[in-house]
Amino acid sequence: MKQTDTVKVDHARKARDFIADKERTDWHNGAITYLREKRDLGVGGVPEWEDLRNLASQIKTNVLGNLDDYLEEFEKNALANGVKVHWASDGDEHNRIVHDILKRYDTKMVVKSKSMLTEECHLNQYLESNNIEVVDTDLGERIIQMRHEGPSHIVAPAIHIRKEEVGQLFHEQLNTDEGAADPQYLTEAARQHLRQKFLEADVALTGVNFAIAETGGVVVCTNEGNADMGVHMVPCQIHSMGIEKIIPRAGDLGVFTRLLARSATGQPITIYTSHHQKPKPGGEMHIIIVDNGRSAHLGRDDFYTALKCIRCGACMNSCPVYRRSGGYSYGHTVPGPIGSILTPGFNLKKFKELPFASTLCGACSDVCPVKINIHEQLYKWRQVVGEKGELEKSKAMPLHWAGKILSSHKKYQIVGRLARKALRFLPGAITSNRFNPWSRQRELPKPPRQSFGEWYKQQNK
Amino acid sequence: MSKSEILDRIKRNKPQPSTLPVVPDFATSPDNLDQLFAGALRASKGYCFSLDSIEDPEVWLKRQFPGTRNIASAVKDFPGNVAFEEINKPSDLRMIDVAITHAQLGVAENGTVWVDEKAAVVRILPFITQHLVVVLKKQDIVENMHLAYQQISLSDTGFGVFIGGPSKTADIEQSLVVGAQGARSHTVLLSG
Repeated sequence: MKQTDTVKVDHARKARDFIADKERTDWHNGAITYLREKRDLGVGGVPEWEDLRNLASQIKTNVLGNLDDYLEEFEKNALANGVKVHWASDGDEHNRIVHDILKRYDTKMVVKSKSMLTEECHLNQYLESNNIEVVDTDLGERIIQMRHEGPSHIVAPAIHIRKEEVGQLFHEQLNTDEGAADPQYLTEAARQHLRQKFLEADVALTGVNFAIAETGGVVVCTNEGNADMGVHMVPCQIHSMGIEKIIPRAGDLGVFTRLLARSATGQPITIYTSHHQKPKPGGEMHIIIVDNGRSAHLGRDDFYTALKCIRCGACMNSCPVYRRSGGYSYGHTVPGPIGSILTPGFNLKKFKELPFASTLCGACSDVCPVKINIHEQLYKWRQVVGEKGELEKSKAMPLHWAGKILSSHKKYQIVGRLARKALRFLPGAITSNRFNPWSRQRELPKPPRQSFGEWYKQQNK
Repeated sequence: MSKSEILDRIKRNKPQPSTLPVVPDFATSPDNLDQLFAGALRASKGYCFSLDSIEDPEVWLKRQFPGTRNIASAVKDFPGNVAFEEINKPSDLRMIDVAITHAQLGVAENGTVWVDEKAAVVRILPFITQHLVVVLKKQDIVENMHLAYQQISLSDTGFGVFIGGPSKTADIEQSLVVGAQGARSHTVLLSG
């Protein structure tokens, strides 16, 4: 990740723009809440759910503590399977490796299935600037690609778009009937369009859900079958994975396949759970292992467990802030609570506001299938932002004075007495103005006539 | 060398090692695995029939998939009209209407079947076909994914997939649509 990009993501501002359309905000909130409700139904059918979460958490913790050994074991076994293994320190190197493979096939097009890693590396932009067409083949990804947008959700990338908008988009680009917005009809049009692309391609690229050290193979989960349509059609398949995707044993997949889809959409498992071990007869299989800031994150004692994430999206589906601010307000491929604890490690100046885009309610940690203490890390990132002197004035000033007042019993009593008096007489224009963002959507409470301390003393007279 | 750089950084930064837990199989051994399997599969929009209920496979295929022209079958009781020997590249299978394969394993908790490249004959077949029919022995159904991974040996295959229903998507306003990029329908025939 480029550290030079220090333009701050202004979450509060972007969220304000998002909620300006109240009807759409309510619709978005409802759509995301529906995903969370389906998750709860799916989870309810598994009595050993909490055991599975504990196991997943322990397995991933073990992986992170031995990550170098597991990666070497994985590479050794993949090479023995006839797979070509590449290592990329950052997104640029990853993109160059992909480009070099494409050049050998002298191809101008690559079909790609959903991969948050390639979004993070900006692979599409890189290849397009080298005159190579990238065709995203997941329906939601294809929709946002046609709109020249990034994903707003890691599992449902086009969840912010209405069917009428998809209808208009397909009418313009795929020649569907004008005004047609039936999802069945639009999906069929995309199926025909994408089947043609699969036939034309020479190289297919996918992300990776799990990479098994013990077998040297990778597992890719989809509902649409698009990853398999791409990978099995072409002579050359590429799988891009972050270093943290490792799991030690094939048997560990029992735990993770039971957790992933239930946490994401409530399904007991994705429709296709594909295990790619060796290249197809006469074909080539590449695996690119990408760091891009992850190994540095591993060294942050309070935050490294965020690398346990299996990208199910349950935390964002449970987040009252994400649901009403939309994925784009986070300014990163991975939005929501998990994005807000990963991104400050990659680029503190750019993402310093994201740990504050939370009520710290803890719903994210409650649903996380690998038990990342997300809300505690959000809180801890706020301390880091403050210690590094990166707090906004609008937060730093009140916190400075609050700290002074709250740490002294005397000062607290005096200020409390003054405030109770002042708030009764000062006009709203002074207490609720542009210097007090807290009062934008809220009325100040009516101040009590006395504090609890004063009342208590009175009772004991 | 990016590899040594990455591994060095990991070595420097990695947290204290912890023990790898033993994963139990969570088996409760219910005696109606086939019913549980069929229920889970139907909930995922798949079909499940008893193989015994099919008297004439040819008639059944015609009735089940009207207008079908090209059938690729890896199951000997089901006559196909596409010879696998004549398939030179995966795209040759793009006109397949119905594919029939064996599955080595079924999983009761989610209705999936395990189809490896040997069973599929060509890796792309279960995906590129318009309709997929899978024949599974009742005694090959296990209770859950833990038991499933005990049964299969990933290292012995180049490719294998758990399939849990027809290809589907909910990417447009979360409306469930069956028949995205893979097979439009998914049928499991239970034998024995």
